[in-house]
Amino acid sequence: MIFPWKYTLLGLISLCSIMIISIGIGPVYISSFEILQIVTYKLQIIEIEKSWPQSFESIILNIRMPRVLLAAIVGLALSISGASYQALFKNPLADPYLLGIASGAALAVTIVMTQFENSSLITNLIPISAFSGAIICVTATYYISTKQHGPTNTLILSGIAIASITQACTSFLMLYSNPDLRPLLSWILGGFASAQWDQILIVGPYVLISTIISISISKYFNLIQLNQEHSQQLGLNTQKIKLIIVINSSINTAAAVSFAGIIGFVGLICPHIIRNIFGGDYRNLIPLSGIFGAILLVLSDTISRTILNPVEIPVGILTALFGGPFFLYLLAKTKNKNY
Amino acid sequence: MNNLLKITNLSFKYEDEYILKNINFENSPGKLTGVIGPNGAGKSTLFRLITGTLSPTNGEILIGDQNVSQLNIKNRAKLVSLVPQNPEIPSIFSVYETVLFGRHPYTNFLGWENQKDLDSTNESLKLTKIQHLAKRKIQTLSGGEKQKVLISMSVAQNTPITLLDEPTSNLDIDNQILILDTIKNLQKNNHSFLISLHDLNLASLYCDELILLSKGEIIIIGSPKSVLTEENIKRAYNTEIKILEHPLYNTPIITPVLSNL
Repeated sequence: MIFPWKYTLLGLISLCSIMIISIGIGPVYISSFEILQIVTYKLQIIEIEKSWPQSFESIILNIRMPRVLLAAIVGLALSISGASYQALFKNPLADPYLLGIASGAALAVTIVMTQFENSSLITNLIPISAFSGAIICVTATYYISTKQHGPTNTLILSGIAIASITQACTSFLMLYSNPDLRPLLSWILGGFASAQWDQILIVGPYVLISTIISISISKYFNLIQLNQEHSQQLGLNTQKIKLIIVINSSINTAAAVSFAGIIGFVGLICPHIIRNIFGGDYRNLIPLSGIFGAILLVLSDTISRTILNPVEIPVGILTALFGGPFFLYLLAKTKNKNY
Repeated sequence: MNNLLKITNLSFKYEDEYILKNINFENSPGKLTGVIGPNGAGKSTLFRLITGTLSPTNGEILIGDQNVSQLNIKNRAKLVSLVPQNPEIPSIFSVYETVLFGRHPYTNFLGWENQKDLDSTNESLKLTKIQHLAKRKIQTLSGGEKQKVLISMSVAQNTPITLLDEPTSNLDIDNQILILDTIKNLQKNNHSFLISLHDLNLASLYCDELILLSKGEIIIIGSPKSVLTEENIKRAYNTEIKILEHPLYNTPIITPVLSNL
């Protein structure tokens, strides 16, 4: 069975093509062929005679490639964690941003960035603190929503409340700790302007492992859609699976937030579109949403850095601009609908 | 063949109150056994104890020679399946995907199925006569069709015994008959069913044996004719009834006696 190899492969080819085209786009246009030549030359796969200016190498390898790669990784992570939270909470409106999880991670990162400004450990501390913030907030959101015994949207309302509180704390910390707010503010608005290879080397392994786990256990995502007693009766240890999903998705969210700030709605939009095209089986949904999330964020980042050239819009603003109306549309559509 | 299900001195206590007291019964393969009794009699609790969702306060439940409460969750799911009363089947799944869930106890540690699981799923769809619905989404099905999907899922689970908790509640008479006919048909494969029913006339028509429960205790076990008597029903339900005979099948028919007419 039943892994969507064909569509995954097609998606990966599309993703790679879009990434290469995106790397070429900017104030200096570099053709896809030249990009491939430079990468091949640098990797010393085959002998190539150098026919491009030295500056191209620097633009591609030091600026655009890490940026596009980080956008793809973050898109993948946010989209897969969105789909996972949707499975976990049986709610198609769940999203790391709307559940307050991303904001919790951002608050924890802000605390580290403002309190340990000069520490050499800061790059390594960021993902760990983001994970702690994410776990605390997802637990709080879930606890409050289950205490209310309300309709499905109580979960989202709890998430929004948690997000508001954590965002207020983040703003307070930023105002009182650093006279120059710009780097923190630009990070919190979400974006890849400061993407570097060492960030990818830190975030990449977290997202890779977390993605492999999500795809491996995606069958269980299907089973937990049944009521708990029924899925236990089919031989599933639901408590264990739910715990694995919470931890795994929070790692993914935390990794994404660590170096890209808060980018909302990617985790909502991508699984929804993939679900509409390929159906509700999470074995399709998880890998294909991940690839689609990567594509969407690479495209969004390309637009955000080129549309008002030379000014750059943080990509979080762009995704919120499109994601907000999409959320309202889903909210209206999913009213009283059993997912 | 030996007894398939053997319940010995089973009791279950919740917050100092006995929900079930001293339950004893045995069930052999290929039997359709009805569990009847008023609301709160302990029918659902009995089912939860048999599926291992609850642990007994006293006594033991054996399926074959295996004690249910000593099995791990996956091995238990290979022995007993459940068609729940209020299932949540996500509307986004197809009928095929839903029936395939029943194969979970046999899948590898990641829950992925092999060809044998797919074949069993197709076989279950065929046995429950819903192959034509395989590609339909759950949200497009009628109540009766959904119930058949759940029964098909339990068939795919390939357990020697299946529990059905009120499978005909909220269904029209035509769908009630459709569901019970499907179960009767499956029974021919030596499959055992324990079914809780509120409708005593359907229980009388379809079940080989009835267990009448009241206030957590078994009042009587036996054939529909021996269980459905005016005296037993009065004792369990505290209501007056008259027993007639079904004109075609000679089974008892229960008719209420209205007190203020």
